Formats: sequence, C-alpha cells, structure tokens
Amino acid sequence: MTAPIVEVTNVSKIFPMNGTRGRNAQSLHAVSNVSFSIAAEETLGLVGESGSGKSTVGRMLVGIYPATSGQIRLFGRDISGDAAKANLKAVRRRLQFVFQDPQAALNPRMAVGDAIAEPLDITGGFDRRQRQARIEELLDMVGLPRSAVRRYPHEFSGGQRQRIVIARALALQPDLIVCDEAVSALDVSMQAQVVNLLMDLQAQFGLSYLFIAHDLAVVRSVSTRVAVMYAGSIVEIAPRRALYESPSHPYTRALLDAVPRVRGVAKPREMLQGEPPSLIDPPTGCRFASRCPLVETRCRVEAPPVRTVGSGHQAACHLI
Amino acid sequence: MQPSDNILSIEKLTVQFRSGGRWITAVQDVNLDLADRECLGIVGESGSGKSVTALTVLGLHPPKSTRIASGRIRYQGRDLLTLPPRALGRIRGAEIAMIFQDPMSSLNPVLTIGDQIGETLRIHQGLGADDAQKKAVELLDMVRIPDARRRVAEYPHRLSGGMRQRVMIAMAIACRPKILIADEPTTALDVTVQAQILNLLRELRRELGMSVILISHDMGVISEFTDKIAVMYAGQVVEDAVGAGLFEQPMHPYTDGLLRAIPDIDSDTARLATIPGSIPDPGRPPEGCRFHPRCPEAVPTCRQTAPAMIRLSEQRQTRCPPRAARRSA
Repeated sequence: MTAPIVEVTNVSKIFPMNGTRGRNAQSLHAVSNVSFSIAAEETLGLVGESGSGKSTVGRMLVGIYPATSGQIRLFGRDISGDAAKANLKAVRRRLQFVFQDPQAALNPRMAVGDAIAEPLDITGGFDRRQRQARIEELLDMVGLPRSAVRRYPHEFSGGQRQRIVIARALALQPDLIVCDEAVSALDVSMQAQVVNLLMDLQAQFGLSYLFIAHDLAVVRSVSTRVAVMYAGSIVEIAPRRALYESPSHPYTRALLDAVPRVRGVAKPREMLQGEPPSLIDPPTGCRFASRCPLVETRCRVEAPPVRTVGSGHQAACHLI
Repeated sequence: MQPSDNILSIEKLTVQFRSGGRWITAVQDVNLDLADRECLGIVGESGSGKSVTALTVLGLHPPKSTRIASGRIRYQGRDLLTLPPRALGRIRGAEIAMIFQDPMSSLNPVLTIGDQIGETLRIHQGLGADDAQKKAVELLDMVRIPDARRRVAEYPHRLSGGMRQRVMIAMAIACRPKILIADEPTTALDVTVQAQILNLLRELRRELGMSVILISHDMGVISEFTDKIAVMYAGQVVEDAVGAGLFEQPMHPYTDGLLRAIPDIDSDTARLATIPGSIPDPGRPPEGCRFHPRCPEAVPTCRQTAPAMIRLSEQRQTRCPPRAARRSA
C-alpha cells in the first residue's frame, strides 16, 4: 500500500469564547485528540450528530481552521507545523471542499460557466479556447447540459446546483475532496443521483473523499471506511462492513439502532437518554459516560484507551 | 370503512397559489381519511404538496394568494373550509393542533416557555395567569422535560433542539386535541433525539387518544410510526395503503423508485438506484400522468390521460393504471 494522502495525528481544536482574556473567557473543545488517515482512492466516512466536531475536522483538513494542536499531513506535507503556510500553499490545488448548501456556495450573479471556470481563472494559464473546452468537459463529467454555461444558478434545481459545485471542485483536478453534508439537503431521488456521480468520479479520477454526513445509510453506501465521532472524539473507526455489522462502541450501536428502518418490524430498542455533554467544559473520562447504558465508575474518571478489535477496527472504550 | 369512523376526511381537495399573475396548483384532487385514534403518514419529496395539504386543514395559508379550487375537509360533521374564521380559530390549536419542523422559529425568543404554553390555555380555556403557569409545569412533565418547575421560567435559547420540540409538543397538547398534525417534527433533530421524540409522540398518542397526521420525507420514520400511508408526488396522492404492504409491494412506480433510491443501512450497496430527471415545475405539470416523464414503466396512454385513483382492495389504492391492470390480471 502506498503512503496515505491524509495523516491526522492527535489533532485538537479549541475555540476561544467570550474573548481570550478576562473572567468570562471560556473555550469550546470542538475536537479532541483525533487521529485517522485516508489512502489514495479511498473514502473515509465521518459520521456523528450535530456538535460532534465532524465539520471542524473537515475544515481543519483543508486549512480553513488551523489545528490547535496535533499534526495534519497532506500528501506528505505538514500543514499544521511551522511551515504550515508554505506547505498548505503547495498542496492547495489538490484539495477541494463541497458544502451542504449549493445555493450559498454559488454566486447568484455569476453565470454557471464562469462559476465553474473561476478556479481556472484564479490559477491562470488557460487561454480562451482551453478555458471553454475545460468548462464543457466539466459539465459533461457531472451530467449537465453544455447550454448551462450561460445560465444562472437560480435556473437549476438543488441537485443540479450541487452538480455545478462539484464541477467547479473538479476544475483543477484535485486528489482529495472534503464533502461536508454534500447530499443532505437533497431529496432522496436527487441524493441518489449525486451519490452515484461522486462514486463515478472517484473511479474515473482516483479521487479520495472525506465524506462527512449525519445520515448513516448514505455514509454506508459511499464509504470504504467509517469513523464515528461523539462530542469531539472519534469513538470508533473501522472498514464499513465491520462498523455496520459488528459495531463495538456502545455509542455506535445506539446510533445504528436509533435509525428508523423502512423494512422489517420496528425492534424494541434501548433508547439513548439525554443529550451530548457541553464541550465548553467537557467531562473528564469518557465523553459518552453520561448516556452510556454500560457505564462503570472508571468511565467517568479515566479517558478510555483506543483498542484494536479487528483488522483496521478500533474503538475507544474501557469495556472492550 | 364507514365514513362515520373517520374523524377527519379530506375530499377532492385542490389548492392553488397565485404566482406571477397566474394560479398554480400545489395540491390536486387529494382524498385522505383519518380514522379515530389512527396515525396517517404522508410521505413525499419537497414540493409534493404534503405540507400544503396539512396547512389547508388549519386554514393557515395567506388568504389573498391562496384559493381552494375545490374540495371539502370534514371534521365532526362540519366543513372546515367553509367555517367562519372565528369558528375555525376555536378549533385550531384546541381540537386540531400542529407542530412544525423547526421549533426555534415557532417559539418566541423573548417569552419564557411557560408564558408561551400558557398563552394557548389562556386563549382557549380562559385560564388566569397563575393557573396557566401551573398547567404549563404539568405539561412540561407530560413531555418528559426534567425539572419542569425550573424550566418553565426559561427562554427558548437555553434549550437544545430536542427540548424545544418537546416544548412545542407541550403547547400542542395543552388543550387535549383530538388531532395532532406533525409536519416533519424530527427532521431537524439528531437521530438519537429523533428516536426520543417519536417515542414521546407514540406514548402521548396512546395516553390522550389522539389521532395523528405525520408528514415526513423519511420513509423509515413513516414506516415505523404510522398505520396508514399516503405517498404524494407533484401535488397528488399517487398511492395509499393501510399497513406495511406499501413497503413490501409498492403499487406505484414512484413509490418503488423512491424506496429503491434510499440507501440501505443494513447492507453494502454497490450503486444506488435512481429516479431519472427531477420533479416537474408546478406551473407546468406534464400532460397525462405527472410521473410519466421519469417513469420506466410508462406506456403511451400515460402520456395522454391523467389517471384517477384506482381502488385495488380495502387497503390499497394507486394512481397507476398499468400496475393496477397487471395486478388484477
């Protein structure tokens, strides 16, 4: 196996709140001690509920937020250390980001062709004909008609707008795309079309994805491996089948259980009570302890160790 | 089923909105029955007309830009559509209550939750401020909000999304409604909180003997929660069914396509099935069957003749003549 293109080691992100000094200064521990890697042509699914820190991880990965501590290496370069700026600049073209809401990601007054070509225009080095040819090529790739070039975002449906955003993300031939809830705002029938498009593009161009989503079923359909976040930490990471078929962490099990199923009778489920802890003053010990059905005394005191439970399958729990 | 069993009947409802100087049909020829203590699920994608149908029951559309082109909504021997506004106002919020997707935008940020729950009781039951406050605490207990006595004095921003939705439910059940309409009540919530809210609704439905209309885009939620399901597409009900038959053997190609397009959490799928194309512009619905441009089973008549609902059995109806014909063949 070749070296991973993404290596994240013990990364944390702390956001200061109410200013950084004085009596009211507090800090939000959005991400704590997260480690994972992504190989070439692989999709790592990152699931978790609101506030679990999954979007913050995605944003740190493309340099939108600097990490507070820990190391992020992209394509072998450290974007978190002393040479962060230079290294980020060197890898920037190989990274892209697709957000949830294509409406907000597109300038309503910019024609679709210009929106897609914007990365080319910023980078420079394309003459008129090359630029036009590349726009048409990109529209073909994402399954939009070439007539879209002179039209405006409002003339398209949500699914088509997300295709425009994806075309723009592909313009500079990236190696890694962070998709943050990229299909969450779409209706089921549109969602399936965009998911398939992402998979086709991956096969065609050897892309890697960090696929961040709260929908566990969508994540299963796109991912090679899946990481589960809870209250700022990764609680379990595994190849997708292992994660869904034999989850180890009590939170992963509860999460999978909580999803209503279309087929089959509703099974009586042990429902999680309560809600995730505040990250302004996160609990010592396991962050899931306050809701865990299996909680023991040490869970509230000691942070759980990361244990290997199978090939590429790890979980952070005292009871495994 | 005898008509007298139904607490609410929507008959041949067609609702239009004014847009750019012309009338656009958002809901067309919808028939739905809700039996006493039953839970009816309405499922569909954005723009299918599911929320418009529900809002029409409560007369919650802006009157100047909305018109009810046809139909009746029968509730306890009366037609809600012809009721004078004051009479409808007495029913709305008291006998028929509603909760929405986003509890934050439904709650007033500058009033305590006790004041907001109390408002319903003051208006509909004429309670004084102290009694209303006392009743509000009881209601917060009923929706399993811990420490209700203290929480009643808090403002909405202090509560999590799940807690806010519990407050909305407390307001909705304050007058012991006969019917609760829940429009995407858990869509904005995390899945573990969704499970808690659905469970709460299930318990309250039993405790209070309510009938429920649950509107959702989530087939899983609909499947687990409801007794009877109507699938809407482009303003019409395309299929309805009592029980789980709809999921086992859908009788409309749209339902079929929708079910196949949902990724399965319990198996590794290589590739999702898709429904080609996108939903039609409501201002220009296709001739014939509204689904025909996207339908893999369309035959020439589908393009020409707008199909009516076809009854297949006591439990099932479909708006797809070819499938109905195949079933009876």
